[in-house]
This record gives sequence, C-alpha cells and structure tokens, in this order.
Amino acid sequence: MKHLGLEAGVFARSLYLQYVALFQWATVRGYIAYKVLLPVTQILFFVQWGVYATGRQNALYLALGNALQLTANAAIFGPRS
Amino acid sequence: MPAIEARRLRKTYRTTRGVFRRERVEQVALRGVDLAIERGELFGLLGPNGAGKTTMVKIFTTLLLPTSGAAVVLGLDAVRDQWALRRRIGFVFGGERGLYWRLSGLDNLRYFADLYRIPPEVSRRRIPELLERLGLAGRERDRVELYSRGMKQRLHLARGLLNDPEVLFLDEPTIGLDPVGARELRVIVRELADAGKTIFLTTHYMFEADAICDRIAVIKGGEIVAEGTPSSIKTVVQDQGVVEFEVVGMPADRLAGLRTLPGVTSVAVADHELAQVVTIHCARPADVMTQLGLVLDGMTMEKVSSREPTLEDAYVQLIGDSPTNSEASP
Amino acid sequence: MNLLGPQRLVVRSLVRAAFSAFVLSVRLRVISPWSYLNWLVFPLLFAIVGLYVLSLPGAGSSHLVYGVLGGGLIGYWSVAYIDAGNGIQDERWNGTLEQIFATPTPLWVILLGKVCGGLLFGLFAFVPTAAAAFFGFHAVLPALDPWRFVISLGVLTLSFFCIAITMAPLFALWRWAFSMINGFELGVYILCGFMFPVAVLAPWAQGVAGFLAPTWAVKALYAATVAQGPHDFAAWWAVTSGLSLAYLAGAYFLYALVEREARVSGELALV
Repeated sequence: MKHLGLEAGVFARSLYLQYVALFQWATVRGYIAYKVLLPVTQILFFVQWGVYATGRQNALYLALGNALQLTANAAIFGPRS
Repeated sequence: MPAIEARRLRKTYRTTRGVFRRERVEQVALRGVDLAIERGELFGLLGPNGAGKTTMVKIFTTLLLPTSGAAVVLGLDAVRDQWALRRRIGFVFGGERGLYWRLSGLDNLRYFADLYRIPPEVSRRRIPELLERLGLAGRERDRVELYSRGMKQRLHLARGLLNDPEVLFLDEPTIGLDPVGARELRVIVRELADAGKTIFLTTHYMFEADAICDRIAVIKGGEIVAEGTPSSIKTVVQDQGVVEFEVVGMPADRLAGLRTLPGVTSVAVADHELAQVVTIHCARPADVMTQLGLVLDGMTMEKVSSREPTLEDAYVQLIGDSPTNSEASP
Repeated sequence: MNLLGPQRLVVRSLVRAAFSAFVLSVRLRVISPWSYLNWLVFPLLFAIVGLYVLSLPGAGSSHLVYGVLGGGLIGYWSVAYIDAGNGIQDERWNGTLEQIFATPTPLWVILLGKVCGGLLFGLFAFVPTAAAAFFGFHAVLPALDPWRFVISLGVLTLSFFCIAITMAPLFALWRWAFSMINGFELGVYILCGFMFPVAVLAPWAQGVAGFLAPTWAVKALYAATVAQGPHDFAAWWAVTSGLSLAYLAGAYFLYALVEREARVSGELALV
C-alpha cells in the first residue's frame, strides 16, 4: 500500500510538472502554428478534396474525421515530449 | 600590429521573456574589453561560466557583431571584413556537437574543406596530413558517431586547421575530455603555437592555462580583471598561503567564523563526496591553522594542510566567491 | 559578388562548395529514415487514398488524373520545401549551422546545394505514386503531351526551387518559423491545386492562389495530360517564371538580412 502511495505521488508530481512545463514551453506563435494554422489548413484541404471527389454531402463527415485525427495526434505525439 | 585586438569591445544581448506580456530583457556580456595579443602568442582567457569568453570568441570569429567597440584580427575588422577574415582564421568550440555524426570523419573534413573554398589539390594533400597529425589516420572512414569524445574533439581541431589558419580560436577545447585525451590535445595546441600560429584559448581549467599559455587574462562579468603571464598573475596571491581541510557538514555560522579570522581573504567550500573541502586564502597560514580548532570546536577535520598558492588560487581570489561558496554563505 | 580573389577562381570555389552541399544533402537523405517518409510513404498514401476516392462510382472520370499526379506533387513539394526547413533545423540540432555560417562561403551558396538535393529527392516521389496508379488502379494520364508535360515540370521545379531557397534563410534566422512550416505546406496543397483544380475554391482564395508561382505550373502540368482546353501554356509558364524570379529578388534582401541579424542575435547556436 505504501509502495502504491509513493508511485501515486510520483505520478501526481510528474503530472503537475508536465502541466507547468506546458506553459513554460508555450508561445503565442507556437500555439497559433500548431493548434490553429495546421488543423484549420488540414481540415480545409481534406474537406475540399473530398467535396471535389465525392460531392458536398460528405463535407461534415470529412471535417469531423480530420478533427478527430488531429485530436488523436496530441495523444500520439504527447509521450515524445 | 597585434594579431588580435579588442578595443572597448561591448556586447549586449537583447531578448524577451514571458508569453503574453512580453518583457524586453538586456544581458550585458562584454563591458568595454581592451585586449591585444601578439602574433605567435598562445593566449588564454580564463573565466567562470557566463563571464563573456564565448561571446568574445564569437565576435572575433565573425559569428557575432559587437554592440560597440572594435574587434580586429590580422588587421581585418571582424565586423566589416568577415569574408577575408574567415579564410585566414580557424575555430574550435568545445563539446561534441558541430559535426555530421552519420558521416565519416573524412566526409566531414572534405565537406568543410570545400566550404572553406580550399583548392582540391591542396585539400587532397592537407586532409591526410591532419588526420595523421591528430591521430585519426586509420579511423577516418568510420562514422563520427562511433568516435570517442577525444576523437571527436581532435576531428574538430582538424576541421579548424583545414585552411591552415594564421590565428586559431579554441573555446574550451578540452571540456568533457578524459585526462589523457585532454593532455594529448594540450600537447597538440602547444605544438601549433610553437609552429608559429597565434592561438586564443578559453578555458576554466587553471592548470591548463598554467601549463601551456604564454599569457593569460581573467574575465569576470564581461570585464578583464587581470592580465599577464601565469607567473605574474600568481603574484596576486604571492604574499598569501592556502589552508585546506575536509569536514563533514559545514554550518553557515562556522563558515562565517572562519571568514572573520585575522588575515583571511576568502573562504571557499566545495563538495567532495559526502564531505566538504574548505579552502582558506590567508596572509599567515600558521596562525589560521592554530585557530581552526577554536572556530570549528567539536567538529572533526581531516586532511588539514597548508600549501603555496597556485594559479587557481589567484583565479579564485580574482573571481571572488564561487557559486558553491555563495550558497554556503550565511 | 567579390568574395576576394580573381572572379574565375571565386566562382569555381563557390560552385564546388554548392556541389559539396548538394552531395552532403543527398547522402544524409539516403541514410535518414525520415527522408523515406517524405518522398515515398506519404506521397504513396495520398496517391492511394486519392485514387481510391476518385475511382468510386459517381466521381468524374476526368478527376482521376488528380489521383495519378496529386500524390507525386504533394511529395515533390513537401520534400523540396519541408526539407529546406528541416535541413536548417537539423543543422541547428547538430550544432553545424553555426559552423557552416562561419565559413567563407555565403549561406545562400550552401543552401543552393541543399535545396537542389531536396528537389532531386522530391522528383522521386512521382515514381511510387505513378506505379501505384498504374499497377494498383490501372489509371493512366489520358492524353499526355510529353514535351509540354516535361517543360511544365521543369517550370514547376523552378518555382519550388525559388520558394525553397527564399524561405530557407527564415528558418535559419527565426527558430519559430519552423513551427509554421506544416501550415504553409498544407496551404499550398489547397491553393496551388495539387489534388483538385483551383477553380473549385472561393473567388478570394483563387485570387491568393494567383500570386503563388506553383499554381500556374500545376495548371500547365495537368493541362498537358488532358485533351480538352483551354490551354495557354506559354502564359502559364511565363507567369510561373516571373513570380519565381520575383521571389528570388526578395530572397536577395532576405539573405542580406539573415547575414546581419544572425550575427546580432547569436541564435544560430541555439536549438
């Protein structure tokens, strides 16, 4: 039980440090680049491509699919940093 | 005409901090430095981290522009005449970075030989000579990532010598090297100086400067605080002695007590495994040794000794309290 | 450009330096796994998805040509442009950016060689995508005009070269510029009509696209593969070349700025 408590403490501390580090690392430019510019252009590209190929009826499906993929990116690349 | 000259050299870095409310920050690295180094001299610049050593090297090697003042190398202005100057100087920065690790040592040298615009017939002759001289012959076709740290540093030096420079700048070249590797590099540097090259070496290893430099300067907070031959620098502490001992756990009040002893000019504490090594610079070592027992009453001292001051002692005196010392201060 | 000495020798030494940078960039790409992602894996993925979607019942048959060439164009652009930025960033991480900057070879000469290395690898992207189209989907270019196609590809290469050589110094000067790289990459996919014609975009977007040199070369490239017109190759090639040269004129001032600002800030050594 004590062992589990120690590990929970390490987890909580690393969680807190990751959270704090995020704000030390973040810049307005970086946020705009990675969280605004990149997702918006990716969604626009794939929606436009899909609409051109298959018609306007699939636009929402493509937009949501890309949004989900972009959200998943954070989880995939998160452990790298 | 000096080979290297700095006249009222000043450098201020301007940067910002904060995410939303950006705050402008100014960091003064050099505060009007004057320096002159003659041709063929092996000159050492000593100083703690952040003192301005690397900034000065980067200004002389045309990588940085000074905020004001002049930096002149071989009669060429490091600000305006960068293209002419870059062909006549070499530089080596300490550490392992600065090489293409996935390529061989030979590929690295060939690439930089072309970037230094060395005619192929010259580089074909010079590269094997340098590999031989620096003890890399036979390993030149291995990838750099397989080299030891000492080999990487020798490869850096070979790169710095590709254009047969008249002036060579070495920024902490032995940092991180094992004692044997560092000694080998020092021997090579001394040989280069003996062969007539002007060498500007920065280091914070006192024994290194003492062993190979013709002349040294000590820089602190962007200002030169002492300049001369190693022996003349030692005169700063010639009328002093050094008392050293080891102790486990050094309370701040006892440290303050040591500082108040008659004749004591500085007290430095450095961690050594579980113990602390206390170094006291003082005018009369014998008197201080007799009073140690009073100040450190009840504490167990080991390896108590008295010795003549070294260049390192002079350096400590000039630089003042080390960070370790400051942290230990009350 | 007097970099000291007889001009003939100076030019020869600079050509040698650029060629050496080209060889180095090719060798580093050959041994880098990331490089294969950019010119082989990603273009192939785009091509296969594009060909699949454009082959579905209901999709216009003339659309298929975008599946055949689109993946290759994306790969070509990504390697030519992204690798110019990545190349600078890699130099920064290696600690070699400062080393090459301090040599007597101007930065633009070194980047010239590196960008040419990127263009060579970028062209490779057409091989797997064309193979996927032919063998996987039995898709071919319907009415290929080989000469006009080759000239259009050459003009497109000029435009990619000019953009890459113009943008590369920005990555050297400002570390934050690297963070913008992906957004701009995707923006060009959209605006230059790599996977669908520019005509489907909103009028304002078409206006913006008109200022991008690759737009006109891509238009010519696709026109060289289909019979139906209108085809105005000479005008499209001229606009691409004119815009590309205008970028180069801007690059001239940019390199002067980089040479100076990098020496003021000292950021080349930072990672």
